[in-house]
Amino acid sequence: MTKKRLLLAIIIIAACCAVPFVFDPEKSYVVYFLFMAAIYVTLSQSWNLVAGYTGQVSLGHHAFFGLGAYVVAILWSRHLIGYLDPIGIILAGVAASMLAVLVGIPLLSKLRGDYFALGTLGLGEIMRLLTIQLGAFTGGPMGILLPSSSFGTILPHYFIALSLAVLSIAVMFYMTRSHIGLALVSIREDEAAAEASGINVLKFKVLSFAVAAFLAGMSGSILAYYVFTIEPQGFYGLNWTLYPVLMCVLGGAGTMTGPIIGGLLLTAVFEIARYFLPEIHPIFSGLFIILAIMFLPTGIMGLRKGAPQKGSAGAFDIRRSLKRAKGG
Amino acid sequence: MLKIVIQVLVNGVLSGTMYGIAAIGLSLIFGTMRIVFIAQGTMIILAAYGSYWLLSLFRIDPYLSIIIVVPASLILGVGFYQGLFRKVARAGQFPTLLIAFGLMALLENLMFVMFTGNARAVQTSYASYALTIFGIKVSFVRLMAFVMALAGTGAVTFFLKRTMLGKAVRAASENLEYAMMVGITPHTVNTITFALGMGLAGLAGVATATTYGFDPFSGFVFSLKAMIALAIGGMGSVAGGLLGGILLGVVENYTAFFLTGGWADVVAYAVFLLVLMFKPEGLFSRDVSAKL
Amino acid sequence: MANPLLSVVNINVGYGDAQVLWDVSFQVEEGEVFSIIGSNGAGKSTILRTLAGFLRPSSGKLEFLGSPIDETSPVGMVNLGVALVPEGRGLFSGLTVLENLELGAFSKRSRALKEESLASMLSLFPILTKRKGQLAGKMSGGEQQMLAIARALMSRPKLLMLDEPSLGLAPIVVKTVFETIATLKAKGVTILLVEQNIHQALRIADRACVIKTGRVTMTGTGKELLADPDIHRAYMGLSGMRGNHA
Repeated sequence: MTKKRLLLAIIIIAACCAVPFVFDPEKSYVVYFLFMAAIYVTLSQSWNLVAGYTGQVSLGHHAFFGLGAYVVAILWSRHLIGYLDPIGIILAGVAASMLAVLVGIPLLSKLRGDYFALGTLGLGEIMRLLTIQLGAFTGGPMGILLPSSSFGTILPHYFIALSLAVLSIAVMFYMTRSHIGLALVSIREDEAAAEASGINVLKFKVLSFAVAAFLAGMSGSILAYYVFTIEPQGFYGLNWTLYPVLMCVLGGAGTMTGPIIGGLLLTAVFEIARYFLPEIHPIFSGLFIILAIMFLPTGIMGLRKGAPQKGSAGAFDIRRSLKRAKGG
Repeated sequence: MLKIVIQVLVNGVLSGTMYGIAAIGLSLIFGTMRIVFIAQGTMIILAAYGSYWLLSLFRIDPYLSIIIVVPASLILGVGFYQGLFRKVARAGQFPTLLIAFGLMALLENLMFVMFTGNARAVQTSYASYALTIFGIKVSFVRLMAFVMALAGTGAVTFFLKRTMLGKAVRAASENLEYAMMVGITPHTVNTITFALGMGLAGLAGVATATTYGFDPFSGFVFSLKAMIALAIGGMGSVAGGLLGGILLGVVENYTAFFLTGGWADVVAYAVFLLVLMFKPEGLFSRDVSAKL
Repeated sequence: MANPLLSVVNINVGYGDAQVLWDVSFQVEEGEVFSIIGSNGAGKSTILRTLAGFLRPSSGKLEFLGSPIDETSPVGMVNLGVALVPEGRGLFSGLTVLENLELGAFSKRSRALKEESLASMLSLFPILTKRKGQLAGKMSGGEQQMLAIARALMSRPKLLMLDEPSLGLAPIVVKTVFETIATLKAKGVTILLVEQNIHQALRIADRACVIKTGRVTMTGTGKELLADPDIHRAYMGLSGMRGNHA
């Protein structure tokens, strides 16, 4: 990384740290916005790792997010961990990555792309349903009431979320520039060739899947610490997968800055919609998604590279989808 | 005891055909556009509302409303494809998937705002009729839904096997590149499958309206069930989709009967994952390209 | 001589950042058989895919019947009268022989003549009549190749492009395939042939060129190239023309 970029990064991080002292969190919305943005950026980067860089499309990210949140919720409500306890947050990440390994090994070793996506979609639903069924443990469909009254200000949440976002970017940075990153990209481009050149394809796929799950689980736990109750519908909702996917695609998947730009932009759009059009903001969001994708199918980063290649959308090339076509 | 077992089986088959018909729509769209059209269930609900309002406002019997709802769905399908998906079809699977998601969110919430979240069901004079065949009680509306599903499947199969456009769709679903080499335009087959998918959704919508209660958000779960049916039955085949749906319905009904209702869903997804892991090409298909 | 049917001038083609063809030029006259030979990976298939509309040259000129075709889509090329039989034959294995043939006449230009074309294909390739109702995927390699060629002809092309028709076929079958190509040539079909089987490809060609790592290294008549010592050395092994290929 060039010195200039490193300096830029440090300035931005410092600015983010300074924000709560400039914009009073009690009166202004900015800190909350950046808090949510940080969570989405983490999620987007984690999805980007699995899908953008390794080429494995996971549509079940919400399973890990929700699991992380529930781990913290269950432990915290039973007073086994404390408020914003780092152990809780890390445990959330660990639990999520264990789920990823458990499910990932069979799914990643046996399923081709489209079918893997389908399988992960089912995973999210299973987690949601299991959470409802195992009510004694998880509070069932009504969820768990959290001892959140002990928090007064958003500041600690904000800084933890910010740190997590920075961590996720750092992890992406490290992984993409190391030999791991090279392995992942070669798997994405041509799995058979990667296997032939000695790369243990399954190991790397599961690794990226587990790391992504770890980050997703932690972001789930951070949000859990912020809210008053946790219930299956909200925390296992498909939004937690589809918004990060959207942010990556609109930002430009397969790049590192893409998810950041996408995350910031979309969080802004959704939060503004929620604020100004409370009744119909989901309609607005749906409409916005449609229009945004129609006009920017290659994402914002795709624009930067000049006229996008015909039929190319960064990591999601039509040639690849044709290759995946039966018999293709 | 045997009678109960058979009764549950019959119920399962009847409810399963609903999933089956949704699955066939998904299968057609997946064949050419390579995406799982996640908004299929919401389309079904949209059609269900159509049928509901046609009855409430204009006293049109749901089965008669098919004449309006299905053609309208076909046209809507063409419109949606040309308006929304055509432009991004080149850009790959993700933009298309995301637009489908956006469409789903948009429609769900639009329906919520317009029709409220109260569950609706079509109340007709014959809603509670039940026939008794060989000592098994069969609900009239469910039987009609089954007949509709079979008719829809038959029509689609006829189209695919006997018409040139249908053959073009099959060819493009097998290999889009080769199809282009004989002059088949991707947009043409995409439009057709999309329209057919929507038409089937229209049919399923009328069936849903008569047999279940529904609300604007029921669509997503319907889509997921259709996906499970598709995975079980096999992505590529029409008959597979229907059979997968029926199998799913049977499994669900038996689970609900022997355990409680909540577990039926969990078992359904578990079966889904198991099938994906051990026979991803589906139980009824001969295509093995799904495996790595 | 009248304008060439196909004119390729200095095209450069790549996949993303990887360039595959450098300044490739050649022309195909109406009614002739033009062969492109070279070893694996030299870029031969890329040429055909570009001509068929699946790839765009980043520079250079492509003209068919005098009009530029650089931007034409694959379906557009079929409608102009260019038919490609790809490597691997490109058949729809889940569909029957008859259905494959019917789909060959799908394009607008050939749709109206479907029945006629079908009749003439079935008489030209009697084996296909025998196997009409069989699934294309269940036929032997040689039969599949015949079907693939027949299907391409259903679109009434002005230019027939064949990508490695002998690939994976036993020598006896290869002989039959080239006999078919000869028959088509006698009927006046213009053929652009890409082949690894140098000997057969040059024997049947009126003119030919050699591609090596994405560049045209030699052009000439089939006879000239067949006799050329460099080609013998590079592509035909130590034995040269030993053996009876008649």
